Amino acid sequence: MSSQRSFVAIDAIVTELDSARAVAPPRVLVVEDDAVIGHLISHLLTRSGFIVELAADGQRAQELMDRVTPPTVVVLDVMLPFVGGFELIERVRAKPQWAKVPILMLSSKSHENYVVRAFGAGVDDYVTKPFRPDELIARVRRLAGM
Amino acid sequence: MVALVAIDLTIVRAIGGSRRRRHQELERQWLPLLIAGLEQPPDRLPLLQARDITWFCTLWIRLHDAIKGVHDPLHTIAARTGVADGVRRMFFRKNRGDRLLAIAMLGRLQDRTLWDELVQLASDRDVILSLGAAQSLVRIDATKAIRLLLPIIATRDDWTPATVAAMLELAGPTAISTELAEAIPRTPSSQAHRLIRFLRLAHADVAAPLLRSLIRHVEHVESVTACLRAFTDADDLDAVRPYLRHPRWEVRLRAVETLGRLATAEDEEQLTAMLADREWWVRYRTAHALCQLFANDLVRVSLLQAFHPDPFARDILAHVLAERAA
Repeated sequence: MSSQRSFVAIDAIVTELDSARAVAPPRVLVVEDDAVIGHLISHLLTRSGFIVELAADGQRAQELMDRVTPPTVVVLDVMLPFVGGFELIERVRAKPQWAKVPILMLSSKSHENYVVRAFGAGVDDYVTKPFRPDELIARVRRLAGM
Repeated sequence: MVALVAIDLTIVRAIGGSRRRRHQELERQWLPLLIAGLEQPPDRLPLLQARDITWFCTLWIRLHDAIKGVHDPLHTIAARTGVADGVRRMFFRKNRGDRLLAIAMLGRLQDRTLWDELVQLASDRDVILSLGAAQSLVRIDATKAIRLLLPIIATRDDWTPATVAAMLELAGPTAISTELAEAIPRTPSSQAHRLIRFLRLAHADVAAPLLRSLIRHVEHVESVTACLRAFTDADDLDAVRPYLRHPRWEVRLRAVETLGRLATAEDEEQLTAMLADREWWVRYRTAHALCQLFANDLVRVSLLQAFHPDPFARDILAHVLAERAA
């Protein structure tokens, strides 16, 4: 009887968690070393209903990866101090909980030749800088399944 | 003496620290306003002080260059701050950094008031200033600027082709096509290659017939190689193939490179023969061209490597196949 009550309680918690997950805004980890672009992306995504965590370099992103639960989407610059964009992609893909998180890569036009390499490394989409704000938001929303 | 130097260093550090704090404060104040202003211009803006104009321009340009398609709100905010007056004053300062910033800002603001000064500056001996001025002219009025700039591009060997190409791409094919086609025949033959190489950025219906005619008539090797590099259509391969037998290796090299971009299966035999060229670079580019031609069938290239009668050909193919596999 008491074990039956426990199952009912667990069911209730699971349902509560599911509904909480359903209403919680999707989270985006933005890894961008240019403060202006980082703030710009944060602003655009926050206005579109995302919760944004901003990491100014690859090392800081790695620290967040070790500490926080996986976000809905990762937006990542290619050229990053300390831990480069490609290395970070490898680390994200190697971390079981994070392995399936969609990654959108940002690259400047002059680094466009990295795009093929990036898809090979496991990114899901890319946007070149300079970018159209509405395009960036639309692509992140698509990756987030919204 | 040591004490004096220490005092000087302390003062310099204090000034640097105070300036850094001021800039951080300004960034906290202005960056959210500028970013939010992309969607909705703010009702009120802080007063932009004269001493902060340089800093403001730097921030404004960074944001301007990070985005595309939505620059109007940034222009509106810039107009409301009255920054343009400060930029014009900055243009005439002696400090080179300030002048460069002013030039960059004038272009992005599409401010025509110093057009003549920018035209003059585009011919300056200072490479950075002159290129900056040229780029700003293009941003202000691309067609008018290109007409003025092409004779300068033809004479300047200190403007790198990549930078000029970026400037012409900024202007766009519509602004450059007819102007380039008209400027090339007027340009002395020894300088024409500096313009011919940019025909690849022009509209194909203007560039292709001109290139076909030019390659038959130009004399300078630089112009021939510039023509070969500018071909972008496989229909032009008949004009390219004869240059595989040119006595100058630089020309053979460019011909092979063009084949690498445009070749069809019928070029296999000629390219295979080029693997035995006496010049290493020609052999190297030929090997790459063959790998490109058979990118989906590299086994075929491996077989070619194994059975080619020329040892240099086998060597270069092995080298390039190893490079591609790495």
